[in-house]
Amino acid sequence: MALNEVIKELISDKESLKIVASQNKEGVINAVPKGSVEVTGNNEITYVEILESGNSYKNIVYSIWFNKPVSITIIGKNKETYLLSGHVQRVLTCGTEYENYYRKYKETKGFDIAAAVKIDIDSVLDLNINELIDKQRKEHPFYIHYDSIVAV
Amino acid sequence: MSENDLRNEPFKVTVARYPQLPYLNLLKTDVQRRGVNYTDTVIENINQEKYQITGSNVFFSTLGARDDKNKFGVPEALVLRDGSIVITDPTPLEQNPYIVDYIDGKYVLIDAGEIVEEVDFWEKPSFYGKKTSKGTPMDSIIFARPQRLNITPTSPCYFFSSGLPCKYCDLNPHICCDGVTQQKMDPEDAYETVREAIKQEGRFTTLCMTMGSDIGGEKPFDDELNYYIDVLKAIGKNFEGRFPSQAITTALTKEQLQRLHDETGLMSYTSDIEVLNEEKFNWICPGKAKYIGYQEWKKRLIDAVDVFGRGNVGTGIVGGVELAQPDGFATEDEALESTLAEAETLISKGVAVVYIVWVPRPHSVFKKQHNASLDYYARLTLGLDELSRKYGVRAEFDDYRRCGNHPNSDLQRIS
Repeated sequence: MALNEVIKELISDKESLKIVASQNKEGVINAVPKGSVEVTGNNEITYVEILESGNSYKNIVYSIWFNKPVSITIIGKNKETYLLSGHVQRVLTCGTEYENYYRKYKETKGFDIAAAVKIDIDSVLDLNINELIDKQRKEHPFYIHYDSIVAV
Repeated sequence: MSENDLRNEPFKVTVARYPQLPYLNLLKTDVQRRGVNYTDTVIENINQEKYQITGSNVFFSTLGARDDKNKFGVPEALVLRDGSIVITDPTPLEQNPYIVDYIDGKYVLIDAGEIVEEVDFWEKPSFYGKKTSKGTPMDSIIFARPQRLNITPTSPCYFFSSGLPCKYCDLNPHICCDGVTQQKMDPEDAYETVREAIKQEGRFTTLCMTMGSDIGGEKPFDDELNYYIDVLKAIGKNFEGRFPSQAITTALTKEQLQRLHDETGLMSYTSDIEVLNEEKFNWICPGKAKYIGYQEWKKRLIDAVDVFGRGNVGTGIVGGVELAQPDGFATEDEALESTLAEAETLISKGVAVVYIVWVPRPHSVFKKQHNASLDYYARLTLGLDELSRKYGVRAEFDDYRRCGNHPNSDLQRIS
């Protein structure tokens, strides 16, 4: 699905926290901050995997091999939070685009990198708690305790 | 199902039988097994400045192509979406290859009339087209894979010239028929080429040196060893200390291995046994059998672990060639059982075993034979992967990135 401007701006904001979560073949979740997450298409984000031996990179490869979903949680400086879910579309390990990411990281961080990962976003969920509570009350009226609805 | 039926089984049917294997890994294996045929649209649209197009280096995959007539001027090889590479060769349509086409601005693989995957090609490195100080074209010294430098001095193999070639190999006919230069590579040219190549940031992670066997010298294969040492020492001037690298030589004695280790910055050692069965080895690789022998080859591999360390020694096999006729295994089940049992005798001693998909090349003795079914290769991939995990023997020097030609070591990416 296409990312709206609010999400794009939030991802572009250096002060936003971006956490990429993936799973290994045993289903164990690995969730790690990835400062490199950027919007690279209408429904595409790209980020950099630094460690070739790291769990995150292994999980991403597992995801593209077995079509497992990954998620990216974006938390803005004002605590606005969105959960993006998607699939790994491409793992760049060579070629001009990969080398561009490589040089950028080498210059700015001094790191070698393993890959640049492209993810197609399938869904976006606004995790604003007030909105989520309102939504739950409308859609699941039984999910509430009496003391929350006691008549005054 | 007969093995002939199994060999012709549709790709999707085999894929469905192995949900534990990545689709892209099976696709890579099958593309290697069946080859590719590039449409005219691909040839017309390919950006020759950006991509590597087949040339004249002796180890270019396409030089030994199944399609002897249409092997030049095509993309060198493929890159898949997961970043793995597929080393494959142009193949005549009558042999049922995958079709590579250009549709809606994308390069795609087509099987049975359906698009099965988007692909890309290997990009040309920046050192191609440049010359060394002696005027030697650098791309005649070193052939680039996406992340590896291949140093393949074009020397004929002694086993060929002594009338005992490995029956699947076409090295010497290449050199003869394809007009590849036979001039021995100058180590200084190799040094200068590597120096230029590594200016391209992010491009290369390793280098691999290999050549035909050379039995000459004070002790057998000393000439071969000395040449490796000369070239690796020259290249090593580009780096501080040891550098990620692989030499694929004839099986050397422990004394020779020690020299190779001590006198160069080499980090890993490979000697390809090719066939994991003594009787089939003797038939398929008569030169290796006569001048070294199967058991001695295995012993030298295990000795190499003492010299280079566990995880830094490997051997390659030509997957499926053990089924060649008339003297190969009669069934894929027998071949697999024997191969995996023998592989375990090496892996359990710290020697990594990787396979390539056998391609019956037109200039080899086995030119009229056919390779195994995808089902066989799937089971070989799984069997070797299981053994490598059982004994904790990884081939990080020979994996998806540092080589890209072994379906089983690709699986290490998630373990």
